Amino acid sequence: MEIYGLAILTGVFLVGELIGYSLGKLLNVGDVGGVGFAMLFLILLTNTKFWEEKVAEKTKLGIKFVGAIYVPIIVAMVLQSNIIGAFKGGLIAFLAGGLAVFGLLLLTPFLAKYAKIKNDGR
Amino acid sequence: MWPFNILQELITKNGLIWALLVVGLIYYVSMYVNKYIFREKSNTFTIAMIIAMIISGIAGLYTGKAKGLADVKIFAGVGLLGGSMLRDYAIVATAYGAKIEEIRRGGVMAMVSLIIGVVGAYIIGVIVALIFGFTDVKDITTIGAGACTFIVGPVTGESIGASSQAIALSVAAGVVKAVLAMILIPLMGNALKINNPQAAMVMGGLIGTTSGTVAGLTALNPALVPYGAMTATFYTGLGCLLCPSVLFLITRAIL
Repeated sequence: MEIYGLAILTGVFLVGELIGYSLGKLLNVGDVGGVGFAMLFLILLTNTKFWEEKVAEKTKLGIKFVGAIYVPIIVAMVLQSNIIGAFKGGLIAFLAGGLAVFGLLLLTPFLAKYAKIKNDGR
Repeated sequence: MWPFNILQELITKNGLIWALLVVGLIYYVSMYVNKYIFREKSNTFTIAMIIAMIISGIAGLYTGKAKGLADVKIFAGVGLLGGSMLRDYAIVATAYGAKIEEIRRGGVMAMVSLIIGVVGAYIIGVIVALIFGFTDVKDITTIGAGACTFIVGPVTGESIGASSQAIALSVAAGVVKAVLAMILIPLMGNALKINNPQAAMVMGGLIGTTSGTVAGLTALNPALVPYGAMTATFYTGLGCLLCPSVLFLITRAIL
């Protein structure tokens, strides 16, 4: 049943968030990678032999469905972004935020290349 | 006046599913805009995102509040559909089908990129604050933290006691970062060879702002979303950890 897929997804989500928020409590900040941990658990779970062989196709469909509607969810997220707030901050906000994206994006190929070299050497 | 009074009541009552219709219509229009105006040179999602930004900006001007279209009463359901609950749930679901092997290969560099991403954005923010004549080290730190994400900025500012002006600026800087990430990642992605899972993981760590990274990667290549999102979700936590503590102390010592 599709609902099993949705339920499993909520399960991993909550376990991941539990770890993220617990880590956050420990370090006195909000959430440290709750969603990231949840994603990791989902990947670990769905890469098992058990998942491949024993889990029904309809259960998997539940998870695939949520994965498919994430695009409209992102559009809805953009619909409520604070565009005016971005302009109101003026030049300081624009330069601080803008240079942080632009400058660090430029670093991507160098670090990604290093990831490759390191792996090929192993 | 009939039927608008009843429609308004229905829409308010059924906000979430009404939002599905709104987004569906935006998507439908975007498909045609891409097909006939851009001759399929762009993609539907990118156009939908640009239209959504414009609508959100107009709504923000109209309401004077911070949550774009979601602040307009009859579109409040958009806030539910695009809010953090469904967004995070759906982002987790995108990990379905991602390969463990790819994550293992990118893991170490992803962690390195997270640290470089937080410290790098912080330094850029601090330099900009200095150029614009800020002298209070608490305010400077807060603006540096704002260059990380729009959550790290106010969290840092409040914990070290910065001025409200600096906190407001840090939020704005973080918002600019998220919006520009949505635009720059698809524009620069091919030139920067962000075309494999490892590069996406590294980029997620360097940029960090989850909404911007996810939206940008979706426009660039949806298959890379889980890899970028996974690292990016650690960024805000790491920023909230480093900015008000280590980075603040170092900045104070230097200035």
